Amino acid sequence: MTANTFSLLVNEIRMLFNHLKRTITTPSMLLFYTIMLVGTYLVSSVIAILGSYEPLFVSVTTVIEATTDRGMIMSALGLVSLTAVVGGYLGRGPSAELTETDEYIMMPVPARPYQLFLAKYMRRILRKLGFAFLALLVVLPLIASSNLLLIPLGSLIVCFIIFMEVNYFLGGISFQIRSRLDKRFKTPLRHSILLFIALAVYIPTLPEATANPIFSLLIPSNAFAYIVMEMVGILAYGSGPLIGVICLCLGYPIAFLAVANLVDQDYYERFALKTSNGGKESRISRMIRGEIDFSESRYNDPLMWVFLKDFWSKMRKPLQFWKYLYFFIGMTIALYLNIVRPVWLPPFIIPSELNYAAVPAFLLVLVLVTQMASVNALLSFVDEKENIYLLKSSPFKASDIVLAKYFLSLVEVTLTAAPIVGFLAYFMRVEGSFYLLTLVAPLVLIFSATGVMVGAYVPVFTNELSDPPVPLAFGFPAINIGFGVLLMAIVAMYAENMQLVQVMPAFVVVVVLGLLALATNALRSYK
Amino acid sequence: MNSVKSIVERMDNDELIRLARQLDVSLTDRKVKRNLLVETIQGELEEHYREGIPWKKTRLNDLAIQINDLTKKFGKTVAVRGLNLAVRPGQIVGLVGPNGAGKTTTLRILAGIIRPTEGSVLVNGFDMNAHPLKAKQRLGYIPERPTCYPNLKVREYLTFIAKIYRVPPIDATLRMKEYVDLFQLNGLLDAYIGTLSKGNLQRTLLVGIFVKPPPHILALDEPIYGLDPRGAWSLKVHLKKLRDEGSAILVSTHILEVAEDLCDRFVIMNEGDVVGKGTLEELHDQTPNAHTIEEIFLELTGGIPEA
Repeated sequence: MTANTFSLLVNEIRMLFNHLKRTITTPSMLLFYTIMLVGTYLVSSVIAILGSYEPLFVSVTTVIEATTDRGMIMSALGLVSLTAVVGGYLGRGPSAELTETDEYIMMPVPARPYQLFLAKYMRRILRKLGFAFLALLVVLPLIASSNLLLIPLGSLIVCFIIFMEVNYFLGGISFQIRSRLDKRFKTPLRHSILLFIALAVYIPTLPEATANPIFSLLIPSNAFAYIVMEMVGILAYGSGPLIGVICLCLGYPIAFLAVANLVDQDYYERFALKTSNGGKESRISRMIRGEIDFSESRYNDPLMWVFLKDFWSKMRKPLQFWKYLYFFIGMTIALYLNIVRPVWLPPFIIPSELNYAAVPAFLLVLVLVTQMASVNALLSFVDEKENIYLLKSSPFKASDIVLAKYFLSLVEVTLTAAPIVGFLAYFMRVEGSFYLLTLVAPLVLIFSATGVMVGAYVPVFTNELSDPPVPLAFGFPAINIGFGVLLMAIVAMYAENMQLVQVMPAFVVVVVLGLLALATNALRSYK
Repeated sequence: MNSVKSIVERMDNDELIRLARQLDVSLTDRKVKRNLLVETIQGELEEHYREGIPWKKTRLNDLAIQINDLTKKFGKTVAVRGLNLAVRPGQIVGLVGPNGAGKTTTLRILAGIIRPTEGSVLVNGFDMNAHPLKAKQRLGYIPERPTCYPNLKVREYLTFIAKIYRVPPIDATLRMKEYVDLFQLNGLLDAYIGTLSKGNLQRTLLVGIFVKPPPHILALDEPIYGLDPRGAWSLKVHLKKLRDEGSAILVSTHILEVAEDLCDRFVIMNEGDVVGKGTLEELHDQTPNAHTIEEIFLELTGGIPEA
């Protein structure tokens, strides 16, 4: 006798609903949500006022049509599917959605793995749609200023979500293929299948294979590329996006059902190994971490001790190695592009008459890039999980803990942002972009402080320390974008005045110290 | 039947009305006297259980838990090596050992969370690998670190578990009331699990297990964790009662007093190996120099440290 799938689905929806109910009935949470939504809406309005982006879009359309073709766009989106397949094969596939509670509650009950997968997936897709709706709501002013139509844009976002979900399923399929191969073969040669899977996914997206548009639309990434081209009007065939939407929507249930059928005990096993002895670290992580005992450090300063503890703890995660690798390779390429300026890869030159829109757009991109990179700062406290109470009860000053977290965050955020800024410097050249790029430094300083502050407040709001409440997680970018806009306003105000070199540092110092003081206060107010 | 009647008497008004609806008792009057409702429900229940309480007729397989040559490796680390273990109905077996001995890994394999590298695990006669759903049907598992969905209320969680195991609604309501009373969760039924203390979370998980009808096959990893003395006492008494009624229980613990008080037989593990097995008397025979269970444990897991 097995559990009823419907009960599992209802349970997941009930948890989502209860989560929402708890949020809106908790005044502090509600306040944070309100600040987040209203704040982002206002910021979005301010950015919209700074520049009308419609002419910029027209210009970008011309540039894209002149420098690229349909085949290239399809191949580029094919890379997304390729990455998903490779990521699924090397990673944990759909089991990444499972939690420790699922392991203890759901895995021992008489339910089939696919039933749990369906329930978890339902929750995932509902959350995504909710977030997409909220995001659409708060960027309404930007949409209006760009003269974009809401319904087509909403449809495009839905298509994007479907496309990303199809990629998630493709990753799930390659995860299952690996699991099955691992059970049957021990030879390392079995992993050569990844090459075949990758080729099978990518070859149909190459220009030679996409010459026949109708046939090629059977591939989800091609269908999505087709939808984008038809909806945006760049390199459009002129036949409307409907065929692409139908093909993409057909691919979605097929991929979904394929994963649901393939999900088996390995779905549990791969997750459970994460919490088992010896399953925690990859070989490469063990290789690079060596046998360093940071407790033997000659530094006796608590700030340095916390800094080193965090640094080496991070180093013991496989992701950290890839982050450093990305930094070195990314910086090498960015420096090569900026110094050599190869003729075969020209930058986008935006006409000077569009500077009134291009400069704010450039600044906006700068703020968004730094914001993405500064997520590391948010995690500096969140990664501590329950250990935060150990840290708090240790004989360190709260300010030392906060400063240690802040300094390491600066390093982490810089490592992440630097290559992207390098690419931005090369590809997106607007008037004064060289000077505007220096704004990255104050942005990194402020955004890292915001991340540390928001992360420090997580234990004040919830007992689930590894899972920041949604309003906090969303409040983080909202606060950052607000500060970014303020910074832009200061630059605009003092653009022709030498006082800028006094006002800007003073502003940054005050904001950073204020945020770190709030973080220290949060640490002191843990229950 | 008397126990069912007393559960009904202890129910509050909302619970009585819920049960009355489940029993299709007509509630047409705007007001109904409590005593009358209790009597009506008791009468309906007598009719409902006319042929006896169904779970009292169920018997477990003669070897409720059977672990054969179990080995589990994580990479090159051997967590459990060649474990053989059997638990029969009417037995409580203690899985005892120091940290890292392989106890939790054994229970996770038994619960069907991870698969063994070698060997087999049979629960109620069903191979966990080949027939996981049948094997899990009678199994109740308490993890080492109690955790549950924070956004569910206690009542919702218990109802969910009852639905997962397809416990008939009337049975579920009665059993829920019985165990909510036993583990003193009455005031917390409408609390979110995320707001519970560790002890109350452990109680909730235990009630979740007992909502299913007996006989049980229980795999309990440190079940006393977080419970206050009263809660711990209630649990121990209840586990002994379940054993006497024909359940099979495997308890992993390193609280030796609990093991001694609760278990009929012991399996002592150290670094993945079984280093001792049997009743307390048999273990005494294996370690003539040891006088207490603590000394037996230390003797078998590396020797008694010198003072």
